[in-house]
Amino acid sequence: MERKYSRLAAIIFTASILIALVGCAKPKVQLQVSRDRLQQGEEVRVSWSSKDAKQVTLNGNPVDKTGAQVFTPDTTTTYLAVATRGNKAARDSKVVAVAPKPERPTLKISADQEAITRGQSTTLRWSSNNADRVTISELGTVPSSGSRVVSPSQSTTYNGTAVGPGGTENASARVTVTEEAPTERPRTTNTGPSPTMAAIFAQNIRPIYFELDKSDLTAESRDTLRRSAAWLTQGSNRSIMFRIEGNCDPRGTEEYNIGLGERRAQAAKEFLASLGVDASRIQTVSYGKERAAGTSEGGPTQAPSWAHDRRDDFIYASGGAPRNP
Amino acid sequence: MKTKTSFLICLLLVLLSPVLPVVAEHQETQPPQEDFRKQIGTIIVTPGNGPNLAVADFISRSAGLEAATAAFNQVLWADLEYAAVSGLVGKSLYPKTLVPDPASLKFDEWSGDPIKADYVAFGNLQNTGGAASADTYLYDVKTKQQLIASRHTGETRRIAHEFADEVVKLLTGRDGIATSKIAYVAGDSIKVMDYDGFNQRNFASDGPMVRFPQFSPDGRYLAYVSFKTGVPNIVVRSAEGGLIGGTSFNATTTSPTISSSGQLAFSSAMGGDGSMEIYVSNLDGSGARRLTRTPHGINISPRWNPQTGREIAFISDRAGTPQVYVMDSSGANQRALIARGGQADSPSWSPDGRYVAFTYGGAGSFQIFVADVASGQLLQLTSQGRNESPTWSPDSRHLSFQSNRSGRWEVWQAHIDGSGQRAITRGGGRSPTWAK
Repeated sequence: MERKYSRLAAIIFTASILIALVGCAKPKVQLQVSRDRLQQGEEVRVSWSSKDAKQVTLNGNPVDKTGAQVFTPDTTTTYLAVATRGNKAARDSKVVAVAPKPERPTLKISADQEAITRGQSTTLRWSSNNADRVTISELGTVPSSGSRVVSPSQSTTYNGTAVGPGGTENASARVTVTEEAPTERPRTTNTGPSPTMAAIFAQNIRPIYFELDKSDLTAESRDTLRRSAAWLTQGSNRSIMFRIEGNCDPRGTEEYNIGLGERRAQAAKEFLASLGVDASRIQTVSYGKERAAGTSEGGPTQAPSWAHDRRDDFIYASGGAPRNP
Repeated sequence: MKTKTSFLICLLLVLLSPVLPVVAEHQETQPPQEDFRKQIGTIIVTPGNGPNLAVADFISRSAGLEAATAAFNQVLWADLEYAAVSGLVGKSLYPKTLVPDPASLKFDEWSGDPIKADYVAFGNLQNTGGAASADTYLYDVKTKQQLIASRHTGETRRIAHEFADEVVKLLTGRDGIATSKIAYVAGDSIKVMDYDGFNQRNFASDGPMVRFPQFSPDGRYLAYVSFKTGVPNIVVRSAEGGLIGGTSFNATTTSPTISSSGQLAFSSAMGGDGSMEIYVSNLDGSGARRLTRTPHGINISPRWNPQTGREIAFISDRAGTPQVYVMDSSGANQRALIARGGQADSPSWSPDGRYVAFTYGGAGSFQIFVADVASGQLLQLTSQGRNESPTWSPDSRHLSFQSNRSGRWEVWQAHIDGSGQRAITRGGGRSPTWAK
C-alpha cells in the first residue's frame, strides 16, 4: 500500500518536472499537403505535426496533435494548423489550389434533310463544346463545329463522339435513303449551290492519297485525277468551282504539316490544270494534321489510318447543273 | 493516474516527434553535351553557386488576411525558386523571431551559421482601403544595407509576382519573368495565362479553329492563324484583344511572327508557284513582300530575331527534309543554320538573340533542341514523350513548349539547361508563346 503511493508520487513528481520544463516552451506546428494543385473531385492529404502543444486545431477544428486527414476541396483552400499552449500559439498553413472540374463535353448532330432519295445529298451539321476531339463515323476526325455535305448511298446513322477533359459525349443523326423521290420536286432553276450537284461531284471526284512525307502524285493518284479532269471539263461541269483540302498523318510536326498539306493540294491543282481544268476554278486549303485520326499505317480505304489521313479531299463549292449534258 | 500516465506518454511522443522532412525537388537531368552545357550551366544558379537568399514568411497584420498571406508566401517562394538567380536557403533553418518589418531584423541571425544568407526578403501584408497591400523589403545582411523598401497593392498572386521580379531585378540587373504571360492554343481557341499556369483567361476564338499564336517581342500584340473564312489566314490583335488587322489571301497563309519594330512575317501559298513562301508585311497585313522563291518547296515557320530585328529564322525543305535556315529580313543571304538530316520545325529565337530553340526528330518522335547561334552547338532539352513548339521566356533563361508525355498535349516549362521541367496546364494546351 505504501509502496503504491510512493510510486504514484514519483510519477506525479516526474510529470510535474516535465510539464514545468516544457511549459515555458513555445508550441510548434508544421503542416504538409500531399499536393498543392488539384482538380475538383481529387483528394489531398493534409498532415501535421506539433511540438509542445496543448491543443491543435486544423481550420478551427480541434484535431490530434499529430495526424493526417484526407480532404476533397471544392475550391482553393488554405489549410491552417494552429498549435496553442496557454496564450502562446504557432501556426503553419498551406494553400491548395483547386481547378474547377472540366465540364462535360456536349455534342449535337443534325442533318438538314433526314430523308433523301438515292443520289441526293444533305448537309450534316454538328457543334460541340468542351471537346478536344470530335469524330463522326464515315467522316473521321472533324473540327469541333462544322458541316459537311453527305450523299450516302444507303440509310446511314452518323455516330458522333466528343472527347474532352470532362469525359465523352455521344450523339447521332440518321439519314434515311429511299429509292424514289418522296414527292415530285418542282423543277426550278435555283441560284446558289445545289445539294444534288454536290452529291454528283462527290461521286465523280474521288480523294487521292500520298506516301509518307511526300507531296508527289502516285501513279494511282494520277489515274484518279485524269478521270476527275475528264469529268470536270465536260459541258456544264466546266462552270464548277471547287476546293482541294490537303491533309497529313499525325506523325509530322505542327507547322511544317500545314505546308505539306498545302503542297499536296497544290500538286493536285497543278496536275488538273495541266489536263485543262482552269486553275482559277480551284481553291487550295491545308488542314495539316488537324483532321488526322490514324494510329497505324493501314491502307487508304481503311479509316482511321495514317494512309487514309494522307489525302486530298475535293469539295464542291458552286456551279454546274444537276443534269449532265 | 491512468490519464496522467497517458498524458505523459503523449507529451513524450510529441517531444520526440521528428520534424517532417522537406520534400526534395525532382529535377530531370540530361546526358551532358560538354562545352555548350558548361556555358549554359552558368545561367541557372544552383545552391552553392551564387548568392544565398533567405525569404522569411510575410506576416499578416490585418485580421482575415491569413489565407492571402499564406498564398503570398507560397507564390513568392515558387517565383524565386523558378527564377533560379540565387541559392534559396530552406525555411527550416530560419530564426524563430518573426520579421514583419526592418525594426525586427537581426542581421547576425541571418548572416551567421547556419543560414549564411547574403540577402533577406521579408515584410507584411495588411488591408489598405479594401485591398491587400504588401510592404516588401530586401536587405543585404552582410553589409546591413536596405536594398528594397516598397509597397505592392492588389490581387495576392499579382503582388507576390511583382515583388519577386523586383528582387530578381535588384540581384541580377535584369527583368524577372514572374509577371510575364503565356498565350497558347486550348482546344480550338487561344487563351492567355500567367507564366506559372494560373489565371487562365480566354483571348480569341475566331471561327472553327485558331492556331499558332505568336506574341510580339514587347508583348503588345498577338498574331495567330484563323480558319474563319475556310482558308487559313493571319489575324493580328492587341494584347487587350482589339483587332489590328490581318491577311485575307485566297490561299493557305500561316505561321505569323512579329518583329521588335512591329513588322509581320508569315508563310503563304498565294505566290502561285505551288509552294509555301515567306513574306513580310506591315503589322496589319498590308504591303506584303515575298522573300523566298523555291518552286514546289515549303518555307514555313518564320521567326524574327527579336534582338536585332534584322534576321529571320525559318524552316525550308529546299535541300530535301525540313531544316532550320536564316536570312536577312530583306530576303538576302539565305543559309542553313542547322542542317543535320532528320526533320526540324518551329524555330524560336531567344530574346537576347544568342540561341535558337526548335523541334527536331523524325518518324513521329520529336524533341526540343537549343542551338548556340554563334557556334552551332546543340543541346537536347527534352527526352520524355514527344515535344514541340518551343518559346523563350522574356529573360532568355527558360523555355516553354508542348509535350504529350502525360498522355495528352500540355504546355510545359523548363530551365535553359533542361532542369526544372514542369507542366503548367492541366486541361490541355499547345503552341505556347511567352512574352513580357
